[in-house]
Amino acid sequence: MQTAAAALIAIVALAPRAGAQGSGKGFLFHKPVGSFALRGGYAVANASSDVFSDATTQLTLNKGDFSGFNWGGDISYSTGDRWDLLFDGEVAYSKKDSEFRKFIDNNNQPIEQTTKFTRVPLTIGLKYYLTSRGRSVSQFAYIPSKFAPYVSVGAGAMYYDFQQKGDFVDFETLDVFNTTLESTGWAPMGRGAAGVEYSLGPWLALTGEGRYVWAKAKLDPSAFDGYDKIDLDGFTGTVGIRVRF
Amino acid sequence: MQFDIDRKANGTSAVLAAVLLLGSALAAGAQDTQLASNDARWGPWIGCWQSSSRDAVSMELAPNKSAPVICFMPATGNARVDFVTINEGTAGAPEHVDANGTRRAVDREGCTGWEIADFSADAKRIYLHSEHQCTGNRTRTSTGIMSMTPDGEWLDVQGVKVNERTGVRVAHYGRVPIPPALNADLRAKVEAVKLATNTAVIAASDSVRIADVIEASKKLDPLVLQTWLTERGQGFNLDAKRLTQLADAKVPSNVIDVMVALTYPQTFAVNLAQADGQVVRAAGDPQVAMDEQMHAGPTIFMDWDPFYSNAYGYGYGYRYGTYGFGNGNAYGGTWYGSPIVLVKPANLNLPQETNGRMVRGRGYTRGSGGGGSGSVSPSGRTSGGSSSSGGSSSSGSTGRTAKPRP
Repeated sequence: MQTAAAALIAIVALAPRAGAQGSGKGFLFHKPVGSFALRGGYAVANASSDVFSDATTQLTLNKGDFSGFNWGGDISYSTGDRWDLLFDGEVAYSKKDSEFRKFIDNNNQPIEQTTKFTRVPLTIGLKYYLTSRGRSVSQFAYIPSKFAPYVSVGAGAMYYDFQQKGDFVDFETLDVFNTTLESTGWAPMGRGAAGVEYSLGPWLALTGEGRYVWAKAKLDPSAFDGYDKIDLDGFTGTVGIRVRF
Repeated sequence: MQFDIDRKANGTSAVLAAVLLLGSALAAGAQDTQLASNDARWGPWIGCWQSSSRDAVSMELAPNKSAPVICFMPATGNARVDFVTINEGTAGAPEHVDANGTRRAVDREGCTGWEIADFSADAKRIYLHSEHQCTGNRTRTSTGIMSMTPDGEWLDVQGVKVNERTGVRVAHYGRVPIPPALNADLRAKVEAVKLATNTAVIAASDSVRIADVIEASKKLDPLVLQTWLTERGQGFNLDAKRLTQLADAKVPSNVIDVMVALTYPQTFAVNLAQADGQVVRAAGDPQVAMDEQMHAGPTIFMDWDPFYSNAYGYGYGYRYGTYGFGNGNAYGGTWYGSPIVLVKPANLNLPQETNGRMVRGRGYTRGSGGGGSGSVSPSGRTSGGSSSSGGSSSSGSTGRTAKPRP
């Protein structure tokens, strides 16, 4: 998180200098070829599959505990006045300590474990600006619009990692044992997003976006036996900085 | 007095006939002008002018010849001024010039059409426009602008388009003392308004504003406007709002490009390039001979320039032909093609040593100033950077100028 924040600060600080040779007051000397963005926000996990239900039933977890901070970015290439080809990646991560709701150990101590849930969607997509995102008044003068709302869709693959590590109760023997249960893998995914960009300067824009991702993945049966596919869907809200180039 | 002078037969009269396309309402009897009724808009031009040293060089004057001098004097009537041309110490008859914005029919030397001249809204510039149908089914349109530079020079930029070919001529005139040949009455008229003239010059040489460019874009060929802006070299306080204002006013994008380039000289350099396919004058060959050699089309003499004169033996005014424009050597201007905006590499912000070159039959010329690689023209073509002969301003200038030996 600190790294992401530092990167954002660096972009904000360095972008005006980088653009000094290529921009005037509120305009660019050329139409941007593309842009890149760094975003941060919060990813709300849908967590509706049975593996989450069991976890929240047995452990002091609730659905919201699978949600967590999200950061990511994209790089886009302008393919038309309103269209961008977009390569997007982000990481949503949650970590929550818990204990068994219904069990304590033989020393009256809680039986504790930690649950981590990581999702890394990587997509390629198209982004469409609902209004003009800028105006070329000449070959050497491009004026970015103050506001530029957009929608985008994308498809790709999501990497996930669902891990529970700590002490667990054997439901057959009631023994407490220590283990790590983990399932990782890739799943095909789709996403849709809508957002708006607010120009802070010719090179820089503040961006706010909401997106929903769809993905379901098989769980490793050696760790999570008999479960349906894990629900990787979720809504993500982010704000960030976009730098045109 | 009819504006119809056989300049081949009478060189002195030819000088008088050639006035800026303003030639309307030429009339005798200018001596009767009443100072009280003069049009103040002509104020900056009142006085005597001579082609500037840099243009005089391109005129290729003989060592014992000097460039003609034209003197403007207040005249009776709205938008009117009188002028007298002085060649080799001999003053011609006074003539009237009218810039009242009304169209005047013209029929001379194989061309028929109209001419018009009017002042800008702030009266700091004069716009010229003409259209002629000439023999050979050629259509000739022209626009021009007269203005004062911040240095107090009279900057004259005029463009001629024949069919699809366009060329722009730039001429600079400097103020000179009243020649002794000017008679006492006319001299008195000039001197009577000397202080007012100086004041008018200062006012007229004011910075060009965004609104001025918008106005000029309605009056001038884009190439003329680009060239005029480039010659002035003035930057603008451009921002997104003003750029939008320009674009909404339909100012041509290549004009906006020049404005951007002038505003950000650390990033851009503007080079006035001579027109593609321009006929290069062979050493010693008179222009007409070259024309005959290159094509069979007629040479048509147009009479915009007050310094036009064939009395010097080389005088040809605006002229055109199938192969493009030649130099208007009679009056020392320089012909240009499309201004090319060069994008400077970031490491060339410091003054660069220019790359001069010698052109066979023409002499030395300044190079592109080191901004050659990666240059892009407004039309998108790549250019290695062209020179601006005739001494127009560009990067790498020392600020010095040359003049003919006395």
